[in-house]
Formats: sequence, structure tokens, C-alpha cells
Amino acid sequence: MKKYLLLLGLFGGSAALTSCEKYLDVNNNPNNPVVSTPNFLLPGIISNGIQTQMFTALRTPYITQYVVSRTANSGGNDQYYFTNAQSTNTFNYSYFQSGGNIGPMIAAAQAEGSAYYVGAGKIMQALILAHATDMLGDVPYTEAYLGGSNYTPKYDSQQQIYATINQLCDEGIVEMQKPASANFRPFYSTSPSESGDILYKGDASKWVRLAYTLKARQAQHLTKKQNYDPAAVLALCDKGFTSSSDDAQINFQTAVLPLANTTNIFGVTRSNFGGATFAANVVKYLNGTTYPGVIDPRWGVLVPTTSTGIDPGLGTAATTTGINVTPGSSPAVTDFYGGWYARDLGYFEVLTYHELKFIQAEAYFRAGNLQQAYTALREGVRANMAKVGGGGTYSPPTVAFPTISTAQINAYLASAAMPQTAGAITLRQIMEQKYLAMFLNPDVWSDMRRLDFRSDVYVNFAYPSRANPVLAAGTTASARFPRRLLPGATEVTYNPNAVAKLFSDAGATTNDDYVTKPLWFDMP
Amino acid sequence: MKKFYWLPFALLPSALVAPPGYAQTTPGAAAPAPAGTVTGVVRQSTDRTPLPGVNVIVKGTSNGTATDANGRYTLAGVPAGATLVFSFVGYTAQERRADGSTLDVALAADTRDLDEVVVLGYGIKQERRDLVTAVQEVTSKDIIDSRQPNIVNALQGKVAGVNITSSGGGAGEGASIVIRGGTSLDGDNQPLFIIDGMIMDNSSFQESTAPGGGSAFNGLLGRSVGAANRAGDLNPEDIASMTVLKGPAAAALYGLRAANGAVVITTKKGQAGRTQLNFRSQFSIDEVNRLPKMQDQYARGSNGIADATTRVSFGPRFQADQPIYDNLGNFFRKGYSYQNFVNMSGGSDKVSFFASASNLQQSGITPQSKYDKTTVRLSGSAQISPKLSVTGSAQYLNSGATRPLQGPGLLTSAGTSSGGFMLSLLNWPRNDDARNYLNPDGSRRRLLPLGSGTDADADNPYWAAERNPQTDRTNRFVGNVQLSFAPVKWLTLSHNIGTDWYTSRSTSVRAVGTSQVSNQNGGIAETVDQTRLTTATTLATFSHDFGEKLRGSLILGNTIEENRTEAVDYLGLIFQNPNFIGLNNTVTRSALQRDAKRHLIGNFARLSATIFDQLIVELQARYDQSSTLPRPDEGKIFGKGFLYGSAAAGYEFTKVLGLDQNPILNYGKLRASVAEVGRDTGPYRVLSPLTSNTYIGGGVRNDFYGSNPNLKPERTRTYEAGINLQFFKNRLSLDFNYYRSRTIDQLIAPRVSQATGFILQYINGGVVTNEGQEISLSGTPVRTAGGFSWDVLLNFYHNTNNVESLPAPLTVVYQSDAFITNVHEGGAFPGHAISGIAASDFARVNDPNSPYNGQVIINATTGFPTVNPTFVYAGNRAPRFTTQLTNTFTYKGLSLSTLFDFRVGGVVVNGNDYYQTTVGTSNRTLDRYKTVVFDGVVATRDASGNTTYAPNTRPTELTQSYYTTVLNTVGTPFIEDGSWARLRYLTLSYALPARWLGGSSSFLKGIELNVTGRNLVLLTKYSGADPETASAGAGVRGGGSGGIDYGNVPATRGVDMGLRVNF
Repeated sequence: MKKYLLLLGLFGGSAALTSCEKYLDVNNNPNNPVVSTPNFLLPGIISNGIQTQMFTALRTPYITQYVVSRTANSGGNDQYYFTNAQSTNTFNYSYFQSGGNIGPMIAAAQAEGSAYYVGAGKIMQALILAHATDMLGDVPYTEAYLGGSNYTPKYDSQQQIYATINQLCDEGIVEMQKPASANFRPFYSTSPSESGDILYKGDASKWVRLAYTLKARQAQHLTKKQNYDPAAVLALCDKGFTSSSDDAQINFQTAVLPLANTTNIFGVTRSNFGGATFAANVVKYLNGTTYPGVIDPRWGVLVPTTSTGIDPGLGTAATTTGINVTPGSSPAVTDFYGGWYARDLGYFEVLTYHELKFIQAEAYFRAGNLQQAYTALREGVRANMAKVGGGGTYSPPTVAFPTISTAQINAYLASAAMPQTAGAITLRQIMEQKYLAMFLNPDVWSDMRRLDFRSDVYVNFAYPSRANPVLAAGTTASARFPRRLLPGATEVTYNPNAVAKLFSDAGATTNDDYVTKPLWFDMP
Repeated sequence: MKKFYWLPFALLPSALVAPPGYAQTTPGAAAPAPAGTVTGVVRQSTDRTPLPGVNVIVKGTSNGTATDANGRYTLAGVPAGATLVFSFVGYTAQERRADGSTLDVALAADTRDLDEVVVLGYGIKQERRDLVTAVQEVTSKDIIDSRQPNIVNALQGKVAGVNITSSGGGAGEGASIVIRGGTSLDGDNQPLFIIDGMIMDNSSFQESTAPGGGSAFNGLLGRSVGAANRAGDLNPEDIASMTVLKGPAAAALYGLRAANGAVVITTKKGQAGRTQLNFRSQFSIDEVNRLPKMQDQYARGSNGIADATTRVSFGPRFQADQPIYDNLGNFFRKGYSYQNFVNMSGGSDKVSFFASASNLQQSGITPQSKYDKTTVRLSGSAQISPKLSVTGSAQYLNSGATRPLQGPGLLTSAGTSSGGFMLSLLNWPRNDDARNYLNPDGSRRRLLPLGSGTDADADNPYWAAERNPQTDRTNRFVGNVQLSFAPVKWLTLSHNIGTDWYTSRSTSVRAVGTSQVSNQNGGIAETVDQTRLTTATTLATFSHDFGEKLRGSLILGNTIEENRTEAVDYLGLIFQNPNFIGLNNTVTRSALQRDAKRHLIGNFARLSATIFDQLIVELQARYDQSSTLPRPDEGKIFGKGFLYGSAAAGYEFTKVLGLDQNPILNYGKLRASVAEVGRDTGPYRVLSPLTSNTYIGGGVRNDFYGSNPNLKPERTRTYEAGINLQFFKNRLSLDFNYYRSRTIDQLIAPRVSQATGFILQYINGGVVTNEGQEISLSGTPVRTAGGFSWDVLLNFYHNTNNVESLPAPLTVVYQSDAFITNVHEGGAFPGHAISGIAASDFARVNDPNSPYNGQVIINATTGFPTVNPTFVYAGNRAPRFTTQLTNTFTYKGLSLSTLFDFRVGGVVVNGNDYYQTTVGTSNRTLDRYKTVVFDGVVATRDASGNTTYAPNTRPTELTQSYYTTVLNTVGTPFIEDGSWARLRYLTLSYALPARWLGGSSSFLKGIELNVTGRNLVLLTKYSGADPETASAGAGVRGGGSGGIDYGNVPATRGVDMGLRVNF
């Protein structure tokens, strides 16, 4: 009996030992893969990378006075009150939702030999970093994306980030200029499902032009620097976008599960702007106030013709009173939702041909080549008007947009709002046309900052009523405006040492103080 | 003579192993006789007082009688050598051979006897006198006496060192249990549940954390519905005992999942003898205990003016003739429940069986809510040969509920208006009758029109209860088979294999026309969870008794566990036919798979030795290999093994002092132990999985959670010392424990800088300590010869939980499941308990050199206090100490039992008041329009930029804006003391005298009637509903969600009326 038991025990024991290892080997996730081919990672990198800018655009249009709060003295961004939470998405989407996937995608693309994916990864990283640093200043890069190995990454200086952006663009351009044969995998595919390059549907040459346009934008930010070189900017512009069909933009779409929140961040469905109305700053340009008698063809497109425009801090009546509402909306919604850029299924522009034309115009202007500046300015205005002048009816709320004819564009180009000769061109004209064409775009704030919100350039810009007293008490004209966003709330909590360094580097002790400190690009 | 102390088979009835020493026999029995009459006296074993009403029965027959008022019995027709069974409620039954015409018996009370056997798990039983670690047992009688359908609630007040929190008063709502404070910052801190030697599931439904799942997917958040805890599925009548193993020393044997202690459930088995049939029926009525208060002075409107575009109650004063509706009070109704239990047991010496069935039907205190539970169980055992025996148990459990949507509701951010039923009631203007919820065309009557794409109107609570039901249904099988083989006297081999397998289906309906965000066109979300826990344990038990000098046992064991979940989430949106509720009727649908598997192999050894019958030494070691922990050195993502164990000793000092027969102190034991236990993590945390990109373009992206290839086990070390004293011949027993534990290398997934590429990151780090004392005092202060007795059980518990450190640079670990209002969140701060609460506070002077340091800073322009939005530590939700006192008075068949429950300390977040303040229904807002000067200081900045402070003198009016923009952003004013004193239950029961039932020969063996009042008295300074609440449910990890009162179903009080019949 005992012998049998012993044998049984030995047999059982040895069997157990050999099967032990196998029994424990069940820690591979059956729900989701840990690796992916690059074509399924790139769509999210592109869309979420661009969505980051949409989140920033919930804030910056109040600073740049496209919109103001409908509530008088609301204590919001239009009166220069900021919170860390308002910056959280700008930071977090840059690094988690989009940026965190770039490294693994590039690695997968390099492993299989797909040059365009490597290039797109680098250019998207440059685009993401450029936006993050222009809004926030110093941001992590050299110690970013390290997961549990470094969960308190240090921040790199903006100067270093600018160099990184250029380097990433250059490296991306090299990859994108390789022949299609250098790719193991098609750069874009619709079968069996859409994957790969959802931005340009596989056109690598457009990525090259995007990279150059981005480089041009960043280089143009440095107009305060001694070594600012308009010729270098113009050289980049020459390699940039060649028409509006090159525009880097995301087209919004109806949300179909499992996709969510794919409609316009400015739209009525996402309802982020129910408490906003158009600022007087923008209305005055369009309705013939700034240039008496000159009605912009975009009046009624960008802004409903019933809008009065309000200066920040003053507020307007409730929507129930029918003032500053979308015409015909029932129940009444704010007039903001009656604009072209608030269409639920509209588009969000990151970087456009018309912006490039204004960059070119300013660089030529600064280089003293007024004739070329004049040409570029007119082309920028024309391109934007043509793009938003398609007309059509959209809902909700139901809004019919007028078309803008070539004749109308030409009439405007011939109006008092525009210089009629190269010699008559001014910086103000370039910047105000750029401002109107880049409607709601966060980078407009970069222009305003490097031009110190000059009242001779931005003539309609109004200092907010009952502005944050810390800013309002600023002793110099340029210190009275917000120059950067606060660090994201999650960074304050989870990376406090890095945030403390931001404050000490900036020489700020309070949040209100901090936002008035110019960034590196904004300093001589 | 050598005595063999066997560690017995799981199947053997405990009566068989009761050592003979305590059975009192009358010497000099007469010679055997044929069938005759046996007479005798039954006494109480400790003080020898006669016991009336004891059942005496000839084993295996229906021939029986009961003792009279003097404890005397006479039973005729007893065959020679027959066995008599003596049984009485509250006493250990005895079986004695009737070898003569007289047989006197002493019965021992069945809760405190030293020789009583305690089941420790895996079928290991140990005599109480040999215990050297903190173990407390709750018997079947106590569980049934509590009248709680949920066995976790039934433990309330019965065990020192245990904190039980009911989530709320909804029908079938869960309760959480934490033993000796939580050890884990982020993990589940509830104990391991073991049923008949196998691991049992006691989880609660929680939102899936998968991206695109949970809050973003079906919206059925733990905090939106008061989910059940799975131990509540069990039938309380099936349970023979529940043993609570408190520390890791007691739990080291049961593996890493018992790091927070263990609750070991032993189910009832058949008793040899006459087949017994028990029937119990209970009817209960419940009503809401306390409701939040609402102001009745101001009607709907803003700034004192009636305003139909808002729901808030900052409008004009009510006119004298204007009706004021009690919408909150009107909503709640009486809840009824009907419970029926039947069980049957019997068997011969070789084979026994136990069969039971139960059913519960309950209607809740909120409209439409209901809960039902049905159980069927069969267990049996067979002695196949003298050496081989088999026992098995199988039970089928079915439970389900319809629950209201509570808290912040589905997919809504905290504090917005389209939340659950309670928030809707709390902001319903009192000049409007919420009961009028339908328009003539059958659509929902709205207070506010639908906006374009937005909806600020909360769902009417009656409408939501009817049209947006949250339902769930669980079908569950729990069963095991155990084989025991004893080849020689000193060795027993056993194998136990069992499974706990269930399918749980949770459905959330959103009707067309609901205000629930993104669901206005209707939808249905369903989660199907299939969970299977399988445990297979093989034990070799060696035991030997070398006489007075040494006896002991060695157990070698192996256990294999599998924990498998297969879950799918379905979501369909937009009903095509608005009146047909079904997935196929939806326009857009999506699905998500969430499978998980975890394997564990444990090998363990346990050596227990008793030297000179007074020194007990116990050594335990266990080596676990878990599939979830990586072996980075070997390049493997699974199977890390780790060793831990415990050493404990006990010393019966009364032996050496010769106090055994001392009339005052007759027993005393000192004990001490040290233990370490490890803990693993969840599956799939080594390599970061990708997940669906739910934004434009689809594809995949990184998951919220960053994985970590270097995870190692979390470890808890505990030191414990205790003393057990028995006085007055065991009439009074005192048990005292002191413990100190330290948990290091916490497995946590804190939020980190998203520059890491992730939102949360799995790491090891952080230290949590617990230190506490438990005092348990039990006894029978009075027992008279007349049949009156008074029993007392007093439990005192004090625990200090402390987060010693967090991994740098974390300053807090939040429990995001307990992020309930906008301004309060559960959080663990260094230097405070893990059950802390974080909240925003008024901005205060932070300058130690200023005489105004700590004072509130007042806005010089508005005269209102200013608020600092950064969350700060704002109190501990766990009590400082608790005391529970159970008194039982018995006189003959009449018994009165009460449980008083005292809790001192522990804060409660009055989230309802916070919400009501912002919508103008809180009594707090009755101060509106008053002019006040807020205490505090005004800051001014001098020319050199220095800030100076001066006392505030600015009078200001308490406007609507003060409530909605100042108080709305600050959490600390809504945190209150949650101390209480309550009469948790009072039970009066009466057992009809046997002679009324026709004497011993009647087929009716007993009838007991009882009436119980639950929560009859609640004394507390807390201003809201019942402070015992956990609005995010029982399943919240870390510090849990206890002490957060926000929009859930308030607790109830009620009456139970029951009848028990024995055949």
C-alpha cells in the first residue's frame, strides 16, 4: 500500500513540475495585442495629435478675441483668468493619446521597412511638440515616453524643443522623399479597413510640404530674435504648401460606435461654446466698422450677420431674449453655433496654404520685398475666401451659408481693407488678414504675443473690462497680456518638481504671475 | 493511555471530535438492559444548573422528549445500547450511549467553549485552545438571529476588528467588509472568502476600466447603481459557521489573496440520526430611515424672481396659499420582503445528507426597485470504507434586482443635473409636483425645454425609475467534492476540488427622451460577466500524540487556483421603435471583450505542536507562484515565485499556575506571532496592451495603464500579541489583541505625468501601516436555576491606519472610483489613513509668521471667502473606534436579543447637502439675502510686492451667486462627523413549549416565533441621511467609498416577523 502511494506521489510530483511552467504561462492579454503594425497606429497619432490643438482652441479664441463670454464679468479666459485644468488636455493629449504611440509605431515601421510611416511619425512628433511648446513653453521630450522607468520626466527648454522640431522635420523629409519602393507596406489603405495616412491618403509629397510649412511657421515665430532671417523663412515657404488642397486638417464625422466625439469641437453637439458669443474685435472687421463701408464677403459665413459683437467682460443678453443668437434656431442657441467653423461636420485646420501665404507675406515684408509681400497677401486672402465660400446648408442648428463668388473676392481685394499697391502694404494689413483667415486657430495667439498685442496692428483688440487685476496692473503694455498657458493640472500634481522649475525659471510665484511671462520664442 | 488527537476529516460531524473530557457522565451505570426507560438530568456544563427544554431523542428514530423545568427527562422505549442525542439551541449537541437506566448529561454553550472546533479553511479544524492567532467565529444561530439576507451584514457586531459598511438602502444592495484596516493603497482590501475549502467570489459590479468600456461605454458605473456583493448570493441558513481569520498569521496558509484576512465559511452538513425538517418564513417591512432635509421657503427661480428657464430654487418666497410639495418624502414607499427557507438533513452513520432551498422576494423603498434570490443546495457525505470517505456539496444560486439610477447618473460628470433619481429629487422645485411625470401624450413632462444638442433638465425620478431601469441577474453554481483517505492512524490524505462559477448579466436601459448625456435617443447597454474560480487542494495531514509532553500535527499541502473571467460589453444606441427595448432594435452597436485569466500554484506546510499541554507552537510557510508576476531575470512575463510564512506561539499560563479549577480565573493563554504575506497583482500588467482608438481614424493606441516588466509582490508583515482569559468557570471570556502591520512595495497604479505616454502606471512603492487593538468580552453574567440567562458579547476595535510613504513625487493616491462630487474625492495622503477624503478648501493664509496664519482669505471686492481649488486632506472616513454590544436574555422559550453599535470618529461627506446648496434646496440656503461679514482676512499687496493681511470688515449679502459660485467650489464645509450610536437590531423570539405541540411523540418538534426591529434607533449629529453609506458601492479599491453620501438610496429601518418550524 505504502509503495503504491509513494509511486503515485512521485509520478504526480514530476508531472506537476513539468506542467507547472505551462500552467502559469497565461499572462498574455487575450483582449488586445501588445504590438501593432504601423498602419493601425498612425490614424490615432494623426487624429489625436490634431485633436490636441482642438482642446487648446477651447481656450485661445478667448485670448485672441474671436469669442467672449456671454456672461458679464464671468471671470473667464477672456478676462485673463486661467486654471491649470484648462491646460490639462493640451499637455495630456500631446503625450498620452497621440505622442505615446509614435515611438512604438516608428520602431514597428523601421523593423518592417516602411519609410513613410517613420517619416510620418517624425513629422507628427514635430507638429505635436511645436504646438505644445508654443502654448506651454518648456515641455518634456528627452525624458518623455519612458513609462514606469521615469514617471517624473524633466522638461526641455523651448530653445531645445525648437531645435528638435527642426531636426524631426528634416529627418521626416528624408524618409518621405524615399521612393514608394522603400516601403514594405502601402502608406494608405482602405481595405480591409481604412488605415495608414488618414491625413493625406498616402501622398508623401504633401507630408514633405507639411514639414517645410511647419518649419516656416516655427521660424517665423522668432521675429524678435536678433538672428531672425526672413530669407531662411522664405526658402522654407518655397518648399511648403502649394494650394489649399495641401491643407493639414481633420474633417469631422458623425460619431459611429465605437468612435465617439468625432463631431466638431466648436459645434453644437459637443456644446463647448454655449456660453460664448463673438467678440467685437472680429465683428468689426467683417461688418464694415473697421473699414467703413467694406463688408467682408465672409460676414454671414464666419459670423451671422445679426451678431453685434461684444467686448470681453461686458456680456450680452441671455439666448432666450433672441440677442446674439443663431438666426432661426429654436430653441435659441448662441450665434457662435451659426458660424462656418461651428458646423458639426466641418473641419479643423492645423496648418494651411493660406497661413503659409501670410507667413510669406510677412517675411517678404520684413525683408523689404514689398511687391512679393503684396502678392502673397492677396493670394492668402483669396485662398481663404474661396475655401470658406462654398456655401451650403448645415444643421443643427439649421444655417444656410452664402457662397462667395470670385467677383466678391476681387471686389474685396480692391477695397479699402486691402493695400492697392505694393508700396501701401503694412504689417497691420498682413496680420489682420492672417487673423481673419486663421479663424479660431490657436497659433494666432503666437502672432499676437510676438507682436506684443500691438494696438497699431490689432486695432480692434480691446483690453478686457474688469480683467484679472494681476495682469491689469502690469506696468508695461506687453506685460498686461497672457503669454503662456499654465502647466496642466495633472503635471502640478504628478510632476511637481518639474512644475516648480518652470516657475523658478520664469521668475514667477503665482499662476497669475506665471501666465504673463513671455516664452523663449517671444523674447529677443 | 495514549490519546490521539486527530485533525479530522472535513466530513465528520463536529460532534464526533469533541473530546470526551468535557462530557459529564455519571459513573456506576447499571448493566445493559433491553428496551427500557432512561431518565436523567441535563445540566449546563459550566455551573451545573439544570437546563429545561433540551430535546432528547433516540438516534435514528423519532422517539424523543424534552427536559422539564428542572432539567429532568424520562424517555421510554430506548433499545439497549442505543444512542441518545441531546440538543438545545445555543449548545453543542451531544450523543451519548444509553448503557443504563439513568444518563445525566452536561451541555456546553456552543460559542465559547475551549474545546470547540474552529474551521480554519481547506477543511482544517483546530481546537480553540490550540489557537495562537486572532480568530473569531460566528455561528449559524448568530447569523440567523441577525435576520440579514446578506451574510456580510450578518457579521456586523459579531467580530472585533472588522468594519462592515452597507452601501445604501436599495433592495439587494451590497456591503463591504474590511478587517483591521486596509493594507493596500490601490488594491482590493476586502478579505478572501473561502467556502468549504475553496475560494469564493465576493466582488461587486464595477465599471470596466477598458478604454471604450465602463464610463465611456455602458455607463453602468459602480457609483451609478448600488450593486450587490456576490457573497450576498448565499443562503444564510446554509451556513454552519463563519470563521474570521484576522491577521496574516492566520491567513499565511491560505495564500496571497488572504493578505487582508479571510472569512472561512463552512456550510451545513447532514447529521446522522432522525431526518429533520426545518422551515422558516419571514416577512419584513422596510422604510427609509432618514432623509436629507430640504428648505420649504423659496420656490423655483433665480435671484428671488420666478424663472421658468431654471430648475434651481432661488426664486421668490412661497405665498401663503401656495402648495409646497414633499417631493422627496413622496417618492419613497414601504419596501416588503418575503423570505422562505426550508432545509432537511439526516442520514446514517455511514451516509448523511443536507438539502435546502430558499427564496427571497423583496420590493425596495424606491418605485420599481426589487430584488429576489433563490438558492437550492444539496450536500452529502459517505464513509465508503473505514479509511475512505467522500463529501460533496452543490448549490445553485440565482439572484437579480432592478435598481434605480443613482449618484451622478450615467455618463455625466459629477454634479451636473441629469444625474440619478436622488439628485433629481433634491433639485426638484417644491412648487412643482414631481409625481406628475407624464404629458397627456405619454411623453415625459419636462421642467426645461430640450436644448440643441444639450439637455439641462434632469430626468424625472418616477419616469427614470420606470423607463431607465438598471437590472442585473446572476446565475451561479458553487460546488465541491472532497475525498479523504486515512491509510494509517497518523496520516490523512485529502483532495478537495471545487468551483464557483457564475454568469452575471447587467443591463442598463435609457429610454427615448431621457436627459442622459449622449443617450437622448435611447439605448441599451449590457455587460455579461462569466466568472469561474476553481480551487484544487491536496493535503497530507500528519498528526500524533506523544502523550502529555507533545502532541501535534504537520500539514503539507498544494493548491492550484484558477481565476477566470470572460466578459463582454454590448452597447446599442438609438431605438428605432421607441417602445421596444432590445439590442436588435438599435441603430448603432458596439461590443467589447474583456477576458482575464490568472493561475496560481501554492505549496505550503504548517506545523503545529503542543508541548506539555500548555505551550503551543505553530509554524507556517507557503511558496506561491503567480501567473501575474514577471520574472525579469529569466525574461519571462509570468510565474514569479515567492516565499512567506509565519511563526506563532501560545502559552497556557494557567496550567503551570495550577489555576485550572480556580473559581475566578480558570484559563489564560498568552500568544504572539509574526507573519509575512505576499500579494500578487492582476493579470496582464507586465506588457502594455494596445487598445481601440475611439477617435477619428480608429485603429489602436496605447492603453490608459502603463504596464511594468519589473513588478514584484507586495508584502505585509504583521506582529501580533494577545491574551485570552476565561473567568468563573468559563462564564466570562476576555480576548485582547494588539497588532501592528506594515505593507511595503505596494502594487499601485497611480496617475502619473502623461509625458510617460500613459495616464496611469503600474509601479511598486509606498508603505501603509496599521496598528490596533481588539477587545472581545463574552459571557453569561446571569443564569438562574429558573431558566433565565443573560448573555453578553462586547467587541471593541480601534485601528490607526497610516500611509507612511508614497513613491516620490506622489503626494496623494486618489481613488478615482470615489470621485463623487466635483469637490470631494477619496484619497490616501502620506501621514494619514488610506481612507482619507480630499476636498477643496477655502483659500487660507499660509504664512507661519503672520498672526492671521490659517485664516480664510476674503475677496476684498465681493466680501466672499475665496477658494483654493487644489484638493487637500480633509479627514478620515474610517472610525476612530467602534464598539458593538450584543445582549441576549433568555427565559425558557423566550429570548430577547439586541445589538447596540457605537462608532466614534470618521467623517462623512454630505454630498447631498453640497448638491442642494448649489440648487437652492438646502436649509443652508435659508440664510439667503442676509448680510454678513465673513470671518477672515483681506490681502493687500504693498508697493514692494509683499502681501499683508487685515481682518475683513466688508459686509456682504448672501446672494445666489455665493451659493452657486463660492460654496459650489469648496468641499470642506460639507464634511461632517459621522459618529453614531444605534440599536442595530432587537429580536424577540418565543419557542412554543414542546407540550403545546403534542409532546415528544408529535411530528412537530418545535415552533419559534420571532419579531425583529432593525435600525430602530439612530443617534448621530450627522445632518444628512444615514451616515453608514458608500455611494460608490462595496467594490471600490483602496480606501473604499464608505462615508460618501451622494445621491444614493438612503438606509432603511424595518421590522421582520418570522416563524420557524422544526419537524
